[in-house]
Amino acid sequence: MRWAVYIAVATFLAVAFVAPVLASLAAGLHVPTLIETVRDPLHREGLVNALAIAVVTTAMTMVIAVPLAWIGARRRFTGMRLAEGLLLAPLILPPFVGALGVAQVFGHYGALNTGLAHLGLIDVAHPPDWLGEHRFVAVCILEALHLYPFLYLTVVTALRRVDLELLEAARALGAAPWRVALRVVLPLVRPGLFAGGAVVFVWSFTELGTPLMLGYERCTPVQIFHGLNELSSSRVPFALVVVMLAVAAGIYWIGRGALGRGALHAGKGASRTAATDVRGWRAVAAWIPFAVVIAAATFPHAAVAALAVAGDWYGSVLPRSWTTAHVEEALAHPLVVPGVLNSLRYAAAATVLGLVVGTAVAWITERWKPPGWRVLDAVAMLPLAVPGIVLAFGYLGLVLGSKTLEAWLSPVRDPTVLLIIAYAVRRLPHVVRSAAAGFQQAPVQLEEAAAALGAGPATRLRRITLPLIAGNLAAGALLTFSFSMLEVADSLVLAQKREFYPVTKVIYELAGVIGAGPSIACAFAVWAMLFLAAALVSANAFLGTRSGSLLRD
Amino acid sequence: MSRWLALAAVVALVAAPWLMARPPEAPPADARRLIVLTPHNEYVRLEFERAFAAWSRRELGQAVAIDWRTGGTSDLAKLVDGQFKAAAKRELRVDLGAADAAVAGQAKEALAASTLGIGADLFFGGGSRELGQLADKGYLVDAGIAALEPAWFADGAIPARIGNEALYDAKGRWYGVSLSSFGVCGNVDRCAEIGIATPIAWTDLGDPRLVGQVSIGDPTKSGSIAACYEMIVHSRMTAAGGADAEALDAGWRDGLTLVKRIVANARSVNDGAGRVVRDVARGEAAAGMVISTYGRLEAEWSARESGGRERLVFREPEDGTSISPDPIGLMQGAPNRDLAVACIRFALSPEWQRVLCYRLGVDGGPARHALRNLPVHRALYGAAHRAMRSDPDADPYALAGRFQYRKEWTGRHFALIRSLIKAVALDPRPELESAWKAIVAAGGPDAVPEAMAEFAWLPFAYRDADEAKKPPSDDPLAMRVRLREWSEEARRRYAAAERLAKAATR
Repeated sequence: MRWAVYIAVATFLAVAFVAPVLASLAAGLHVPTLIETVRDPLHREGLVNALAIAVVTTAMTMVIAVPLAWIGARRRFTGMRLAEGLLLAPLILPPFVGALGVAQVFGHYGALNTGLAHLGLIDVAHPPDWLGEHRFVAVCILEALHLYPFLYLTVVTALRRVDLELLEAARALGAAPWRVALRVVLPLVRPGLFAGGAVVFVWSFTELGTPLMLGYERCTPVQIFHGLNELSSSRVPFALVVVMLAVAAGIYWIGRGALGRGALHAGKGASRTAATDVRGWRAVAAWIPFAVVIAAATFPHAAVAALAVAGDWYGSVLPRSWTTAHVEEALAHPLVVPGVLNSLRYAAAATVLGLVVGTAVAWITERWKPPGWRVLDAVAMLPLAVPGIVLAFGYLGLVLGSKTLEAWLSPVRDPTVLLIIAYAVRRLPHVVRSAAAGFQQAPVQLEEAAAALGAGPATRLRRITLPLIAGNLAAGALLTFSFSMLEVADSLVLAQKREFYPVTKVIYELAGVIGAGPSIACAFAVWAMLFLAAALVSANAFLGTRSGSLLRD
Repeated sequence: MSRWLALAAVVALVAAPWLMARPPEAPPADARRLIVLTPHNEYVRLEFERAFAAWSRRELGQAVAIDWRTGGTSDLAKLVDGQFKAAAKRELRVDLGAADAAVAGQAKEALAASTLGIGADLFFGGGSRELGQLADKGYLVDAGIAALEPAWFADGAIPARIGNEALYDAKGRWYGVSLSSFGVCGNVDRCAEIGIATPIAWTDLGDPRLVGQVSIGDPTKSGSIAACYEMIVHSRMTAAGGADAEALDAGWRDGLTLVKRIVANARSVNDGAGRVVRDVARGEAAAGMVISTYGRLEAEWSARESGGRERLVFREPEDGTSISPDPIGLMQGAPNRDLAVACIRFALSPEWQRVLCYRLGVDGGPARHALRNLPVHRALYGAAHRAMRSDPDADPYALAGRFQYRKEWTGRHFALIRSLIKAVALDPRPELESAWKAIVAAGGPDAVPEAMAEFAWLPFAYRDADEAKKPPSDDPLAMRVRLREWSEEARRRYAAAERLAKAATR
């Protein structure tokens, strides 16, 4: 039975991920092209910049998420559920739409410059060009504010599983708090830290939308994207993909060696007793860091919402007038209703597919470790390092290269199957890492005890393992659903027929409308944000009674 | 309780678009579908679909719908090229991309003799250069409109040429539907802040006072932006006289130096023409380059937003702009050939030509959005239509007379100009910008001629352009290596220019 699972999962990954990537990369594995690519100083600079973005962004997310996760795991205070819910706000906004709102506020005649000019703090004739002169910093800040939830979710889950008795024992033996944190807590939360950190690092290393929107051109993902126009005449974009994949995979393995292996069991599993209730000024003090991060992270959302209902907003702190015209125009647009239905279908199906495959991969790599498990694990994580647009072109290449596949799967006719597979594969690493962290921290002794009492593998999985890792799976599902709803690159390439456009492609189309386009796009993005927020809160409320909250393990 | 509230919110949010949606305009189930590749903006698509559906119901007794496949012209052209090559290899066992010209020629003949297609019926929009290339590769075929509607192709209706540009293909593979010019746009407030007038000429975009204030586009991504750059080079070649090889060399050098100054002035490089004009309208940049349609539409919108005050100004440059057609072409192997031919007839009909240029609300004009396009039918620029047109003063036929476009100067080097600008201006933009800032700080180009000479460096003279286009060897990487070498040398030259300018300042 387990070999059947192994073969099924490996086949899925081979067909749905390896084959399209190989199709996409075959041209890139050409030695003269690779040499020429690396010789180009622009490409080398692009790689260094992409790595710098990844390093700075990951450091920023650590600074943001780890202290919050510590408070979230160790304190309980009034409104904590709300605070944790709002912390996940970045997950409900497509980053390229957030850039529209941010550009409005930080623009030359934007709200900030106008406000500062009114206060006499800047030279009106030469106001700062915030987004023009500080692009690297702007890219890192926006990415960190978008990606920190990944780290928060995994670290807080890991911290909540740390057995309080271990900490008390360390303190009783005279260890200082920093020593307890370094020698006891850190080794115990390493899997969570690695899981979240790896996602953030590789994501920011390969992130296309934010640097593209902010005009930060010399980084590898943007160079690959720009090179896609030359695919018919040049192998260089493919070679750049090869270089990027190699670097991302190398860093992942180094990180895994340093942080991800040899994890200690956290103890007896979910341990709510580790959190202490705080009231009064202590509760206020606990709230403050949450409030600061939430305010910064929801700033693009607020700007997008304001732009959606703004009349003329030019050279004023707030819009000079307000209007519902953009909302009416957006929601009444003929693309919107089909777009909403399409995205729901694609995201729901991708979530189910991703959960099944991801959990199976994590179980194989954490509980069984048959021959080839390392390869399986690495392949399942590689989608993080493959820009969505490359994967999408790989699907196109595969399908259009075979008459049979074209007859079945041509995205020109109906991209549903390809989009579901693409979304599921792109988000598979989140599910795998979430599930793997769950498997690592769920005591294997319980499964062994159940086995000793005669429970078969299926019973052990159903009665012991799945309940223990349900929180992790729910977090993985949540991320898969959210990001499938917001997936951009695959959607733009594969959804070629208007009746199959998902929400993001509809927003992209609306943003391209001359004149009021950005406002109309923001109006529909506000709808998407509200829908996703309501859906997540609803799912959290319903799941919470059965398998524990999505936010609290 | 809260969970039910959350669920109710989900239901309400999903219901909202249905409740607010306009009465359905969906075509009946038995409607025939045309698949059209287009870079046209949404306004044009919506108006065209509505008008064509009404026309075909009336004229053909047939319900139709259009399945638009959108993208930039260059991207769509590459998609078409890739799909035809793959399909020909698979179905006909021939190689359309063969390096051997004889083999490629035989493959093209095999394609022409077949009914092989890529599932698309029409390519609508883009430039005549791009569609001309697709036609030459055999991907567009004769739609025979001239035989069906000979009266339309008279001099008083759709002439064969405007200036030196053909308005339709002599073999019927593409037909110009509307006309575009290329020009400069400026933000009135930003220009006032800087203390300059809004730009009226290409040379204005290279003004040293505009450092960090110009919005430009990447010519390798946008066909209309590439045409703007070509116009800049062409305008300087015209200004240089163009009488002999020396003058053409000087004009070419002057034009590309102006391009470098504009790129060095750039605040950002956008991948689409729409974003260039939007940056200027919002005041992120003081000036930019843009295709006429976008310039006029964005100017109209920003004026409406600001209560009628002119915020964005679009001008056709005094130093020259060509007028070129936005064509439509019938795809090889079109699955709905008869309907596609009917669609081309409609696009060229007076009915659609009026929608292109009439004001909103005028009888025969657009239903929801003024398109502010310039129709190809000459009669619509007459007095009888003046009161109905969105831009009564725009007359591309008159404008074309003021500027003599010489396709043989720059048109035949269109692809080379794109690559050259990318290699020596866009790729080394940080170094170019630093050099330019140092030159401006040193008193301007005239104050530091040695630095300016380094700044103006080009890898080849105009007279050697044909040679520069030829790959140095059969190696597919050879051209890439050459472009990288140009780029690296340009970076060295700009570093030298910066050093010289700073030394002069000290």
